[in-house]
Amino acid sequence: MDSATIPLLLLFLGLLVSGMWIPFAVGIAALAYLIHAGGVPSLTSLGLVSWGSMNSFTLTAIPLFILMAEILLESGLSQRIFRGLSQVVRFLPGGLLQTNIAGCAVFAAVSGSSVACAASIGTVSVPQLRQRGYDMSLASGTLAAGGTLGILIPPSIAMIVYGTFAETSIAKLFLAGIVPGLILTGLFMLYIGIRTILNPTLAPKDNSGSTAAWLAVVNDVMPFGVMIILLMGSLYSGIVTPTEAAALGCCIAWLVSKIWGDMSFSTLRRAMRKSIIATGSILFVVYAAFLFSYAIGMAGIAKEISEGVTQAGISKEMFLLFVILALTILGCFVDSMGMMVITVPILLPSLHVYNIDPIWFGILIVLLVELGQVTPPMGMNLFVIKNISGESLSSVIKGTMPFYGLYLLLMALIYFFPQIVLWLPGLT
Amino acid sequence: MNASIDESRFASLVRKLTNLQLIICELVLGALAVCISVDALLRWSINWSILIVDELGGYALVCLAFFGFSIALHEKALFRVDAFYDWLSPINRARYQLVFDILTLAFMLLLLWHFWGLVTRSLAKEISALTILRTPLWIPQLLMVVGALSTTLVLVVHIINDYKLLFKTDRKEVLNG
Repeated sequence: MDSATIPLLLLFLGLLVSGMWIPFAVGIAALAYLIHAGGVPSLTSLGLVSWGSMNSFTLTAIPLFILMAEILLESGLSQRIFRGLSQVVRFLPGGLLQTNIAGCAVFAAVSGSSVACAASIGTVSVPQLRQRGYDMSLASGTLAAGGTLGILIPPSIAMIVYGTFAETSIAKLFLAGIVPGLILTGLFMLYIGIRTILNPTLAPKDNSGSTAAWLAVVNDVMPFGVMIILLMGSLYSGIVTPTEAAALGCCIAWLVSKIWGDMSFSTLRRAMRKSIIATGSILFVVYAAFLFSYAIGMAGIAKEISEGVTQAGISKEMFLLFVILALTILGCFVDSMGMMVITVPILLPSLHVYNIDPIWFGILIVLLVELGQVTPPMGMNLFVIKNISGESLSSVIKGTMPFYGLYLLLMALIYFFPQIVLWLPGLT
Repeated sequence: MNASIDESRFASLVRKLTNLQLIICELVLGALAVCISVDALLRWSINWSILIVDELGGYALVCLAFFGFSIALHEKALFRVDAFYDWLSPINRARYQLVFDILTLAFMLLLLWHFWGLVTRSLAKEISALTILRTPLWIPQLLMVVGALSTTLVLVVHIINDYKLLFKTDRKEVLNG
């Protein structure tokens, strides 16, 4: 490895850890690598690289999926899905805690963001959970962990970004996320069930409900059912591309909100404004990552790492263990998008060395990003739920901790049974 | 006093600029959703495509991204690792912020310079897209320049605020508690 590589890496980590805005820290590090690799003349490519990376039809799915989720959030439709699902799963041990997970899983199918998922269900469920005397630490844990399903169950912004960098089919990545997403949902619900059977004081028995309430379930669940069927059906049957599915999703979300929710012109504008701010912050990280990826490619760092890995004779298991450890530690400090864009360009060349399927690796990375979303001190979902529930951060973390084990269990499952990930994409 | 008024006028001007960009982005995002949906529906129903949606979609993303940068920065919505930053005392945090903002301003000026270079090269060589529209590329590329310029202006406002926070006595007293 070049003598300047380590100091430049330290500069990058220094800027990142000391609190500089992440896209600027990544961008400045990219410029430093470029100057190191090719001197000042290498900067002349900046304009063309910037244009080439952001003039992308594929990436337009990001603002559109964000808008779709914001429309549903602002129109208050998440209230209906929570009310409907609470009737469906109230017979399961855990009651409304199960509704949190089921609600997040359903919302995940129409939203690409875990924060949006946790916030939409959390806002509706917390007052009811508190009113009915549920254990708020465990309840907060179910919401923080359930929210992460937003980026595993498609559509997923994290998968779009990974797919763009890895030059992998985003539709196949979406398909690959379905089975692990359902398994993780099942594991979460199983854990809640066992925990509340062992300690019934955590979740009081809910005896409410009537035939009329069951009829209302259909009306409450229908808007999301319509959206999921139309969106995912058109995407997986090959009628539309992920970007087109995102655009259609916005129009369907608007229509569904108009029929079943509260959708005025001002609500739509509020959703758009929030989407644009979120888009700006996410795309800025993605843009900086393109510069970073180009710079480390020019400096040959990713190639050096993959050659170093080969020469060191590190086994595939050791490599994956290193990836899991590195991303888990990184997840403590860096937000989900930052985690992904910093590591993926560096790790991708090594996948060829170990013959690792990029789609399988993408799902592993998304799982690690999910873990980062609930890992203190940077886990965004922890803060979202803390703010909504009014619980202390330590109480939210305590409630979330048991779910870490379930993420690790799923990672072990997809390692030993890669078909969990690869079966559905293999059918297309 | 005059300088202070001028600065606040400048900040107000930059706020108006980002508000204008926000409105443009709202229109672009709405149009993007509608156009792509219509194209997908037409292709599915009558096997006919507008053909220019992919190209315009790319330009729309450039607009949303580069205008979005300054909007997100103005709204302080960018991500940062704040464990160390929050641990600092208010006065040290303000010092750090000033250094960060100066560094990022240098970064943005460099980008701005190269974006402008790209636009002028495209204009001089009359480069156009290899599509039906044959769009002269300097037009959508100019969106990058406008976005980067706006981000730079937002950063200048931040630097002025950092400076005021650090070197105006009354604010310094507040910072020191």
